[in-house]
Amino acid sequence: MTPLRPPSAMPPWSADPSRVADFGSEMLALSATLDDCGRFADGGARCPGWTGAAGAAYAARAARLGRRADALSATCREIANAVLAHATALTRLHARHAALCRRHDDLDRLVRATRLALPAAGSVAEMLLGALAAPAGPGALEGLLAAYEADRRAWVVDLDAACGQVRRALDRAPVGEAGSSADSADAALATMPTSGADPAEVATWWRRLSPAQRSALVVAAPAVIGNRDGLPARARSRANTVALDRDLAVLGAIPAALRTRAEAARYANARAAAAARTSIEEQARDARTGEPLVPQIYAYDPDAFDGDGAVAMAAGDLDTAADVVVTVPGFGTDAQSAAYQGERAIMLHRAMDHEDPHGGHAAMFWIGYDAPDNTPWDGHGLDAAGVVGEQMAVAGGDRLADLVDGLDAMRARPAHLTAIGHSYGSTTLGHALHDHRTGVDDVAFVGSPGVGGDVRTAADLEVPAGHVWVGADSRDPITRLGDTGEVGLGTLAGGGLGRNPAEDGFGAVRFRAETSNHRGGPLAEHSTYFDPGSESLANLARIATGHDDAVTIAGGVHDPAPDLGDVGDAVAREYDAEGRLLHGLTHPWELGGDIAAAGTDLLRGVTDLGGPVIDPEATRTPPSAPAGR
Amino acid sequence: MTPPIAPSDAPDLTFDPDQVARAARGWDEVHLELRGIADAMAGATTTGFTAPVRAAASRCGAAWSEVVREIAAAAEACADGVRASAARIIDADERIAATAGLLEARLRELR
Repeated sequence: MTPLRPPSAMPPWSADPSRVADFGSEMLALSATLDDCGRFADGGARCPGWTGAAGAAYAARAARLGRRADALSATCREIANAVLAHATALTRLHARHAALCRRHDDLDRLVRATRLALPAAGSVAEMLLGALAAPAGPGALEGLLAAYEADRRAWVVDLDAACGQVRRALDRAPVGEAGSSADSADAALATMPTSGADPAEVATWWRRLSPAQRSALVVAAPAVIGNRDGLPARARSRANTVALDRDLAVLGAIPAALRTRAEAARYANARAAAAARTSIEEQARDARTGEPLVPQIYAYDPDAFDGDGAVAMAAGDLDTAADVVVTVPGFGTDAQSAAYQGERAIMLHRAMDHEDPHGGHAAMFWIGYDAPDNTPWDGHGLDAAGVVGEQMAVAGGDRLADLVDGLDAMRARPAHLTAIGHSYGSTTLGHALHDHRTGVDDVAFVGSPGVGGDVRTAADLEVPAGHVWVGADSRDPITRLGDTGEVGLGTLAGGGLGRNPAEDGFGAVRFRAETSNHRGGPLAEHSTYFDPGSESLANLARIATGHDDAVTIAGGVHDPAPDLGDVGDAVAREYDAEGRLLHGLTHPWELGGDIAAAGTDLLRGVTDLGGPVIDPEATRTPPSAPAGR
Repeated sequence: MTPPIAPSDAPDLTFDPDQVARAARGWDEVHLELRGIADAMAGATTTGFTAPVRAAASRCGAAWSEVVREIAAAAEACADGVRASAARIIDADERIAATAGLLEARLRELR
């Protein structure tokens, strides 16, 4: 019998689709900048107040330059799109390559086994052969080899075709024919729903555009397309990638000493966004394929909020993921925090994959509202004052509601959508879900100082019963800012950020979120909810993937006030041997009149307000039942 | 600043210095943006492509970088040209005004 030939080895894989996509994005940024030049020549460069021979000559020259830039932009965009399509094709080819390599190795082992000796009937070798190549037998193995060789040839042909196609695009000369690029974008923009239109209307408008118009718009108006709720995440991301790459290139080319203050702030925000993008590219993997995830830049507006900037970025595909989670950060967040928030998104995505290995998840951080980020003692302004008021959360809630509506509108099939609000972000999230009746499938408040003054119970939120969750580390002092029963900034001074969602009477499900990883510092526990390996992160991932049964539950915080009876003194307290207060209620009047100062002290990191609430999760000695209970 | 000169009976020459100055500044911005993006394109890595495509990608990046630099130079020329024209117009206007002042002192009414 003729010995079987071993299978042909797969050619080595030498491409990197993400780098190819980077090249395509650079070309798109180039196209967008040329497009801007054409737009300027047709708009801001015009001088109707300058007539005469010189004025006419200038106008003609500017118009010629603008037309050339527009035409070049169109050609450049076509090449860029070909390169980006090639990157997508390479990703698929890479996955096929990996699968074919595995098949090759299996078949190679089988063929070698048949060459060694025909295994004796009933031997272990024969059983192994049978298991590997069922139905066993030389004929079956030949069939498997032939199928492999055919698939290998098809793969080589497809790779050649993909490379030939992109090479033809890359070989196009950099000339522009007076085309319709600007026209197609302008015509499409003219029909775009006005600002404030319903995201569903925007989604419908987008679906009705031709592919050429969509492609032209991404380049011609990246700032508009990249930040418009209702548009698909991929289109937004492509537009924002154009804007980000252009900022990095253009502002980076200006020597630091010559940048204006606004340019310096914009550049710093761009660099922070780029750092987040790099982190996601390097650290996030698709659970199903093992391939790196392409970050989606869902929002990018580096000048927003007086230069604080806005950035939203996802690990995973927001357009198709079955489970989508959005994190809303709080105090101290601006675009400069993008890299830090990006790490949290990566951790969350990884944890979701761990809980649900089938993949199909997306985790996005949203720095999309003007969060309080300056403390008065920094000397940079006073918007930290906003942290003890709800104005910034109300405004942020408006924007967040639009975001959630946009995520719903852009999808062909709705995702299981979870929103997580951390710290002041939980107040913002509370407003979005209460003020706008915006619905999500699950909501989780972590480290919450209150979920907004109008939210009295979980039922006030547009979330299914049993799907309002709360994580509160018993050592996190910020969680004590919320009103608990009769005690709190709201009930005492008419201020504060609303009710403590961890209170048992609120109606949320409190999950375990304690940490054993004490970093030190009075506010350390406030920043541990997304730590890798923490029970908080695991529970958040379980919620986000719909594994509610696996969530580990904690007891709610009690409101001690009803237990006091009419005793006119501070009661229900316990002291240690040295006379220090272990826990117990401090009466409102004992807190004194300076509630604002207490809040400020908390922000500075003074954690001990006397423990006005009783938290069964606290690791200190648990409270005994107050007298009279 | 000098107000626009727009005599109703002589529409041939009007000149709005503010408008022209804004246009010149705008062209400067366009020039800087194009230069920056051209430099970035020149430095774009092509190592992600397969070997047979890499050379084409390098040529493409270099060619586009070059052509965009040309456009950038043209934008800068526009800015410089507009500024030079504006300076000449203002200069000529001032010289004419000075000459007219001198001339006026020598003119006498004869009838």
